This record gives sequence, structure tokens and C-alpha cells, in this order.
Amino acid sequence: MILKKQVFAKTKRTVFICSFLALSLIHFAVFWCFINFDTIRLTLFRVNEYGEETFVWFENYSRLFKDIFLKEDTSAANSFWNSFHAVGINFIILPISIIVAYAFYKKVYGYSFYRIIFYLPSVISIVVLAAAFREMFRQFNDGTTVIIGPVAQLLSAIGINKEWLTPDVDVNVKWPLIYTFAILNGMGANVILLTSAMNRIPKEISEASRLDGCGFFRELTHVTLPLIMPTITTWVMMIFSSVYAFFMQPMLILEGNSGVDGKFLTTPWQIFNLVADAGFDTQRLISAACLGIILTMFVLPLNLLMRALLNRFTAEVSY
Amino acid sequence: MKKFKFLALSTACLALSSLTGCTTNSDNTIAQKDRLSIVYYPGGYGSEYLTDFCKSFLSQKLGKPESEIIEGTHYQLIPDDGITYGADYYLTSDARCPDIIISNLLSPKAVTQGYVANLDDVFETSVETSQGKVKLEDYVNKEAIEQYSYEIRRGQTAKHRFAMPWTAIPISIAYNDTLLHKIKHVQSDFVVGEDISVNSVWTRAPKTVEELKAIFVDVDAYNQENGTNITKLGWAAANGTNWFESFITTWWAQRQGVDEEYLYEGEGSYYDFWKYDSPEIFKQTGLQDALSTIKELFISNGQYVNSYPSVGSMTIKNAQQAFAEGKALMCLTGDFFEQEYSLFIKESQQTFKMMRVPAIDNALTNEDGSTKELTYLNISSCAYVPNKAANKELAKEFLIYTSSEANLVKFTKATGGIRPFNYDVRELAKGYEFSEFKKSVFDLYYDADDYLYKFPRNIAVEDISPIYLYEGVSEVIFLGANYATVLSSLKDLSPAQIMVEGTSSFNSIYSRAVKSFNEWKRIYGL
Repeated sequence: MILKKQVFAKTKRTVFICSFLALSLIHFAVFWCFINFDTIRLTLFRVNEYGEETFVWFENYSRLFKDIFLKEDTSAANSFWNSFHAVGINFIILPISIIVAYAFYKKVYGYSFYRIIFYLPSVISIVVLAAAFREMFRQFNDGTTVIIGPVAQLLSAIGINKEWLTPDVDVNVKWPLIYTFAILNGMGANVILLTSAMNRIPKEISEASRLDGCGFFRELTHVTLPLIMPTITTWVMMIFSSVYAFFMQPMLILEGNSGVDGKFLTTPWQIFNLVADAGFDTQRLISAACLGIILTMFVLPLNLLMRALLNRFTAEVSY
Repeated sequence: MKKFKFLALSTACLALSSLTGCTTNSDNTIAQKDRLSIVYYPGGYGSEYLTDFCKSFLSQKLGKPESEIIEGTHYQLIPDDGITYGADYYLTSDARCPDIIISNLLSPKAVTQGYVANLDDVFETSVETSQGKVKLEDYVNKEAIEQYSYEIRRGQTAKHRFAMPWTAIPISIAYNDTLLHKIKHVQSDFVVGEDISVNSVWTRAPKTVEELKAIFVDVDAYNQENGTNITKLGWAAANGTNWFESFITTWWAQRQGVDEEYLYEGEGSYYDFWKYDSPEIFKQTGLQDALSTIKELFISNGQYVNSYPSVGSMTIKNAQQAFAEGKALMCLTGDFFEQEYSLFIKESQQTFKMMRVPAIDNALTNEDGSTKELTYLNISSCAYVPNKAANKELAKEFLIYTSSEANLVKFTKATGGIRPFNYDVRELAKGYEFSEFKKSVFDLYYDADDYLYKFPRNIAVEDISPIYLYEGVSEVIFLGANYATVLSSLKDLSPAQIMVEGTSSFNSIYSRAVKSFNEWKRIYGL
């Protein structure tokens, strides 16, 4: 009787565990395996106007390679290289975030208030943030330009008059504008991450460094930074992954207008456009899938290289 | 253990609830038996006319007074701004599928993949006209029907009708007639007609490019004299500059010839371009002439001129609104202008009219030596019936009903728009008080010697290139480069560089075409 009960309990437990695992496995099979394998499979086909598929080996890739790397399609080439602005943006965010996080860690005057301010972009939708940012530079046209945005007014007052938000006019100011927005928008989460890492450093180490004569900045460079290096390493590795998702910032700032010959287009934005307007044109979905894979093929080695370099040059830390 | 089970159960419920997004939301249901549902593009003509049509059609069909025909019960009208490129949302669903879609585009791939109903029987039906019963096939503008005729499988000898042409939109220039009569002609280097004399005001709109240049000088003089800041010709460059098509197509055809070659032998005519035989069509000199004329009129020292000071950052809506407010003498627009900007027009209390695109010098002539009057028409707007529609036959009957002569006139009276059918509203609605703007639109349409469509006419419908049909090439004349790119490039490059020669930083349209044609030939087995 006891044995029967034990077997029943064991079976119940196994079924319980399996049912949990099944959910994850089904999710993994459908939303990861099926989607990714089908995407890769699709890139090897051409779909005609009747929706019929023809196996074409790597024809789709070769076309896009020519477009991007031989510049046969200026827009595709521009968008590909523009995607790497994400790396630039994150490398600017990195030192700023470290300094801001350190200031919070050291509890500078009014740090609680600033912490909330820095945290806000992380909880507000990027669409709202972009709309607010655009308002800062808003200009109205009814034949002549009327400057409405406070920042645009301020800049105008010191003699800087530009068409801030129109992609095809004053082209040179658009990327700095996108960078500014992306930095403001992206800093919050990073500051939180770094502050958390810094807060884990034992107080004794910080005190000891101060007793040894370390000033505010010396403590940062000689004590705090080396101790949070694993966090920074992980983050730097993620910088290259940001290339895959870099489209919301330029798209929202320029309200979907990517400029002449895709001057402000990025590959993820191009993929978004291809998928959004695909309708009955499966070939557009195939192009989007190929672009995604080409971008991955290019970024993944960079990611691995960065990882190898960081592992080699940063010491392991434990406390 | 109980706590653990509860947590486990909650997690499982949460995980399952994440999948509920995959289910259909019943609120989106459109299809309903015996209720006529229409999804339409709301811009331009509004929805009042559709309500009237639904009420009168269903009243006749059901034998009930119009007051008893109720929206939601007997019919449903769904405006959708995104319908032009978003029809797949409706066409692929049983629940969301309406009975009729009225849009500016019918995706050919939606047809070939079987999502759109065949309308051959509709076009075989006769409708009432003042000339007696006429078969719709003979009553509708030929190009407009053929534009939406497709083979169900490639290589078939017959093509089938899949859409009912909805509107023919003349795109050209609108002008402020009140203001025009205040502009005095001053002495300049430009040649004007004998009826325009120095120191007298303009009594008509400019008819030639030379006259257009003259009036630009006159507007400057007017502004100087009166301390005003009237813009000469309003257009916009911020979000697409598609109204420039009227300039481009007209000047191009005037030099290239409409059906047959005119000035440039061996290059083919305007309509030969749309046959898409080879990339060489992009070398047509007439197209470069059109761009040269645009450059001459609107670009100087790398900057846009003769338009709003901030033309580069203006949207099409900004430009038209400023014009309606009386801030510009002329503006690129279409027949929908009066309806869309009625509020601003009412406030400005000025009279607006449409004019023909001024003729380029050495333009194509009629047999009597007069310049051939060409009107650029957009005929892409159409109504079609999805294959999944719940009331397919009712939808077809509605399309036939709206195509009778009486209803065509009713449509024009209500919207000012013209449907591409063989009817002359000026004759059929004599005594009806159309606005000056609408009258000028009718003149632009009915008095044209020929029409310019972005369509390969004069060839059998079976011979239309699959490139034309399936690659959306008619949407933008310059292939991958949109109008904004071409216009912006004109600031620094010559038309020949843009179209044929290219530069180190700009791939010419011809080189882009060569690449595309190679691919298209492979895809379509040409």
C-alpha cells in the first residue's frame, strides 16, 4: 500500500515537472526553433507573385551583399553602416554613466532626487520621450519658420538656426540630435546597473582606500572601477548587441522619414519597414530575414572578439 | 508545499495568459451576413456620399424607406487611413473581412494569391445612362479598367477584372484667382501672350513656362510694392513631393511624345516608358528635360527658390494649408483641395481654381499647331471585393448601382470628384451650381486633348510587363530613388547626372534600373 502511494506520488511529481518543462519546451520549440529555422529556410527561397517558392540557394544573400558591400544600393549600404552608430552611442554613455553612478554611490548632495530623474527614462515609453524631445526642437511652418521648441529657441538666440527635425535639410545636425536623444534615453538603465554594482563593494574597502589617502576620483579609478569590472565587461559585450535593436531612436526623432538615400536609416529600421509593409509580398519578408542574418554574421564575430579581449585584459574580481 | 503549489499554479496561469494574445479579438469582427460593410480611405472626399449611397442602395434592395436603413444594422462604414498598404489585415481574415474595400491601391499579389474576387460579371452588366443601357466594360475608362486586370496564372491569354475604378484625380496646379487679378504684369525678359500687357493685371493663369517665369517676376514686384510676402508657387519637400508628378509627366510627354515619339527619335514615347521593355527607357531625354525645367524654376545656387522660404521642411499639408490661407499664388495639388481645405478657404474668402501645367517650349502640338493640352490623371483609386467577403453578391450589386449615370453625377455633385467613366457632368448637371474650383477641375478633365497615366496604354492587356504589374514601379518613376531624393539631388547634380551618368556618391537612376532589370528578368523569366 505504502509502495503504491510512493509510486503514485512519484508519478504525480514527474507529471508535474514534465508539464512545467513541456510549457517551456513548447514555447522554445515554437517561438525559437520553428521561427528561426523557418526564417533561415525562407532566405534560401524566392517567392513569386503567386506565393510559390523556388529554391535559389544563396541568391538572396548575394544580392544583399552586393547592395551593402559593393554599394549597389546606397540606401541599403547607408543603413547597414548607420546601425553601428549604436556602438558609438553606447561608448559615449559608458563613461557618463560611470561618473553619474559613482556620484550616486558617493551620495553627492541631492543624489536621491537625481536618481529618480535618471531612472525616469527607464520607466517612460520611448515614444513619449521622443515626442517630448521633439517638442524641445519643434518648429512650425506656414510658409515661414516659427520656432516653438525651447531648446531650438535657445539655440536660435545664440545664433544657431537650423531645421532641427527635417531630415533633408541641415542634414549634419540630425545624427548629433539622434545621439543626444539616445544618450539621454539610454543612460538611466545603465546608471542603475552600475550603481547596484558599486553598492555591492564592501564598505571596508572604500574606507580603507580613504584612510590610505585616496581622493574622490582616485578612489573611482583605483578602487571602484577595478572592482566593478565584471559588470562593465558584461555591458561592453552587450554594446555590440545593441546594433540589432537600433531603430526606435532615429525613427521616432525623424518621425519615420529616413532621409535621402537612407541617410538616417539603420538595418533594424529597414527590417521593420520591410516587414510592416510586406502585405502579400513574401519576398520582402525574405529580404528582411536575410538582412537580419547578414547583420548577425557581421556583429557576432565582433561580439566574440570583444569578449575574448575583455576576458584577457580584465582581472577576475571576487569579494 | 501548498505555498509552492500555489506559486507554481500562478506562474503557469501567467505563462498561459501570455499566449492569449494569439486569439482573435471578437470586437474586430466586421463580416456579418446581410450587412454591407465597406472599408474606405477617408481622405479627400469624406464619407457622406458613401452613407447616401448605402442608404439609397439598401432602401431599394430591401424595399424599405431610407430612414429605416441604419448604420451598424444594414451597413457598416469603416474609415481606415492605412488601407492603402494595409489591406492584408482585412483580406486574410474571415472575421475582419469587409464586403468592399475602397483604396488608392490594389496589391497585385493579393489578386494572384487569390484574396480578391473576380469582377468580370460586374463589367458584363449594363447600367442606365442617358444614352440607354451601356455595358460597364464599355462605360468605364479603358486604362482605368486595365490597370486592375490580371491573369490568374501567368501565361494565360485572358486577363480578368478585379477592381472597379473609383476616381480619376487630375493633379496639377491650383491658383488663387482673387490674388491673380491683383498681380500686375511688369516688363521682364520673358515672353507672354498678347492678351497680357505690361502694367495691366493678369486675367488668366500662365499657360507656358515662360509665362510662369514672368509671373514669378510679377509676384516679386507685387510684394515689393505692397510690402507683402506672397509665395509664388507652393509645394513641399519634407514628406514626399509626389504632386511634382504633374510637372514631370507633362513636360516629359510634351517633349517625348505621348503615344509616338516626338522630339527624340529612337528613345520611345511617354507611354513606351511604361512598357518596361528595358532599362534604356530611363535614358529618355524628355524625362531629363522635365527635371531641367524643374531645376530652372525652383533651384538656384543649390537652394530651393520661388516657393515658401521653408519649403524643405514643409509637409504637403502645410503647403496646401498655407495656400488655402492666401499665402501663395499657386500650389501643387489635386481636385480634392477644395474639399480638404474648405475651412481655411472659407476663412480666407478667396476664389481658387485649377490650371493646367504650363507648357514647356517645343511642346507637342495638335494637328492645327496648338499645344496639346495634357492632363495628368491619378486613376489608382479603386473599389474591390475580397474573396472572403460575407456578402460578395451584395457587394457586386452595390458597385453596379454606384456606376449608373445618375449615381456618377450624384457622386460628383457631392464630392467634386470625377469617376473615370464616359460621362460629362457639365452636360448632365446643367443648372447645378458647382463652385468655381470644381468647374475649373471639370475643364481640366474634360477639355484635355489627352491624359497622362502611369500606365502602358496602347498595348494588349495581356502584353503588359509583369515588371510593371508586380514590382510597383508606377508608384515612383525613379525606381528606388523617391521624389525627395531626386529633387534634393537636383540642387547639386544635373538631370543627366541623376538619370544616366551618376557620380561617385550618386548611383544614376539608369544604373539602378540596369541592376533591377537583371533581377526582374531572372524572377519573371523574361
